[in-house]
Amino acid sequence: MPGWRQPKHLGAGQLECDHHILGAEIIASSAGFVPNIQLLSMRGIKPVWQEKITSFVAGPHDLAVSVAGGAAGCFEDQAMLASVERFLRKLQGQKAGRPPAIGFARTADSLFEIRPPGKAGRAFLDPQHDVTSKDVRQAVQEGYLSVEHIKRYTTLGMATDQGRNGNINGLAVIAEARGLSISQAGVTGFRPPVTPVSIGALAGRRAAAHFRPLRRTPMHDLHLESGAVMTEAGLWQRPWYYPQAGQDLEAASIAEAIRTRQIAGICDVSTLGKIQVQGPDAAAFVNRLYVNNMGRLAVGKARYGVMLRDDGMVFDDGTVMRLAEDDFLVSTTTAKAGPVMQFMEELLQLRWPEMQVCVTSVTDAWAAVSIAGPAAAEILAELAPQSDFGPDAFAFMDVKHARISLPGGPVPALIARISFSGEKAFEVWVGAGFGPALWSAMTDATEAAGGLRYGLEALGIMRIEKGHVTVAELDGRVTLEDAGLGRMASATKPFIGSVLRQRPAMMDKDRAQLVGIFPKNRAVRFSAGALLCAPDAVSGHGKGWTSAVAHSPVLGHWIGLGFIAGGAEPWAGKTVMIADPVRGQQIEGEIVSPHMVDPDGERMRDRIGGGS
Amino acid sequence: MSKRLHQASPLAGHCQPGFYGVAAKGRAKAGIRLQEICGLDLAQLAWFAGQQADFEVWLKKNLSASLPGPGRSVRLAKRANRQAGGGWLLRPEPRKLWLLGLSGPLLDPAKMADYHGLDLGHGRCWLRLAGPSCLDVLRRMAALDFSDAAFAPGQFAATGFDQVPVHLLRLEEGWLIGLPRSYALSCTQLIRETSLQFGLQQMAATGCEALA
Repeated sequence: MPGWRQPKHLGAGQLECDHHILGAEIIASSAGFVPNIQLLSMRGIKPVWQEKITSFVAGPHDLAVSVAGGAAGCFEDQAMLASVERFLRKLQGQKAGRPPAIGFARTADSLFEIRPPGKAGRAFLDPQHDVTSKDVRQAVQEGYLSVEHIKRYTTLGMATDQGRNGNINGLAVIAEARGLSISQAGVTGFRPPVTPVSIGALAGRRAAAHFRPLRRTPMHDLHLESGAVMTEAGLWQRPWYYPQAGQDLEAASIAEAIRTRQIAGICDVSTLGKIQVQGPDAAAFVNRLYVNNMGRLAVGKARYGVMLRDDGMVFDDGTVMRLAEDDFLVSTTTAKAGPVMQFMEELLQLRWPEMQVCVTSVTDAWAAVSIAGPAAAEILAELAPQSDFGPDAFAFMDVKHARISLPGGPVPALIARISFSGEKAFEVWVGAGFGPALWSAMTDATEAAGGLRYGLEALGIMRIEKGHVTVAELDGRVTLEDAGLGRMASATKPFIGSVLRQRPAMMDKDRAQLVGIFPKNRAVRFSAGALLCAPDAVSGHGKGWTSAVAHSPVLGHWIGLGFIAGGAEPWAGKTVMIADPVRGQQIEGEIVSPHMVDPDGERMRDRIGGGS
Repeated sequence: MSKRLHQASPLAGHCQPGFYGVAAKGRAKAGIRLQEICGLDLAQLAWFAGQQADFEVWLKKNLSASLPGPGRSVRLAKRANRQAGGGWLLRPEPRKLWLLGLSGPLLDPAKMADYHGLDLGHGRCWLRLAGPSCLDVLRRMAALDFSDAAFAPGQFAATGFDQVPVHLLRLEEGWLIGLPRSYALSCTQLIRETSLQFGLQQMAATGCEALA
């Protein structure tokens, strides 16, 4: 400032200077040049004190990291350039030479604490948290010796600047109070983020409509326009049922299931997880992942598969399509799309990094519609006239490329003959942006044939009739044998979970196993979540539980899926009690095979005519 | 001539052009201009450990371009002898390259098979965020350093908005935001709501020629 004398440092924090009073709106302070070693510290490199620059720099390490320029403490331009050149020489395998000088050519005395002469005022170390040198000395006096403890006791360096302004000063005061050098006093560690970020950005909005982000299928708006009642499936919303005039959930879903089995129905299945697995080792990779043999899956074919966790419990199930020798399209359940993708990445990055496999989530790239029912092939043939949907030309589990004729023009599609409903069915996959046009065209064609759209509830009815499992059954506590899928496990190859699934407790024949459940009195309904008990022991956890219940249009009464100790065989001809203490219901039931309708799969394999 | 069906936007009918928030009724200038960019083509190439040098040669031969470093992009100008109208090469992961084409694919799909080509175009919705309050909005959305020093034009990042994976490319003017299609409307609503305090001009969706 004009007319002001340069302050003179008298040592020990004493300054000789003029006193002035200035009005100010903001006081900004600078801690001077300090090497930015936060990222290096987070990688485990220990900081070491450099007295010349009164700062810490990265200490010795054996990581593949070189520190150059200001981060190494080289503040003068020439030294910075020299340190970068030295780094480049090292990269090229040349002799690096001596490290350049650190710091500035002109150095100033260290001044860690300001004590106005003759005044007993506070000397602030951390201007954000108002931590003074007195606070730090008091902490030392009270027995806090470690810098980590003193930091937590005084909050020194815990403000948003994360110690950038005051930490060195604080360490100097600690060192002085303890009679140590700064190097001996130590330094606190660094944590992310290096650059300040708002906590709100880390946490996400998490409020009101944005409490959770909503995922919409490409056909979402069309479902709403057609009056669908939506339900949540993870972050997605899916059509639950499409009520006609006066219909409630039960009436609408039963009508949808009946019409689908009689003629045809279409269902939006875009939410299923889809992962592209590519590369020379793709076949070996999916073969290690699934319990059944995927390595020999032919190009142009699909196969149902189950994967286990490391502990041998069922992780997820879905369909694997082989598009080329080195290209698989894996579908997962809606709920497990993210976890399966994460698990694949973990396997490839950590356990099997030598495998040449690339995995990419393509869930959002596709719109998928399932068309099921006896008339499915005829309806599809109208939309894809160049494809042959005859039973011989398009066999069960075939996957074919096709062109779908939509009003705006033809679009490429992938069609797979796979079925979850138990009917003859196809899944039609097109680019997500063509999803609305595909849905509209398939709706028109299906309705013209006497079919309809169906929602999750009708799909649930049909899959329960068939004994097909979902996340309601595969809840993380279930083994392959529990789910009745033990025969899928290959005995000729190792796969994830293949060792631990063979622990005695996992193979115990008395474990609860998948069964079908009928009420003795066919006119009575029951609920999912009820206990299955022996008639003389309706207490505790019982012998099992119901996982899913629906009214079967085919059988004409309520049916359920569930698990019971030992499976269906020991309970054949016996009565079980379906006890539902929460809802105050207790009825007699009987245990049957979980495959309650078309157990041999004649309908989905097109071996019998339509209608039911 | 056969008809060509255009991709439906996940935002169609949900983002009416106009001025919103403090910019409504002319009370203040819009700090944010938001616009959906339609018609971008996105393809992915992937390579494996030990193949990068070969891939770089292949890329030079087929696209006359260098491989961008992680977090970087390479701008491809439109060339008179090529039908494609330019675009960007983006590096979303260490061994993946995205080809973002402004007027159709940057490469023949048959050629892309050499490096496990994958069409991801339907899976993303692209927004351009511009205006003087861009950084104010972005800082509320993602935990990144958006300063000029850390995120200069041409830089590219994979990050998250409200837990949703998104990609950001800094343009000379504004930012290009790639949203997963299924989350696009939810994320766009979040951006719009965040922008209201700075004044939002919602612009009509446009073709990718706006980026050329």
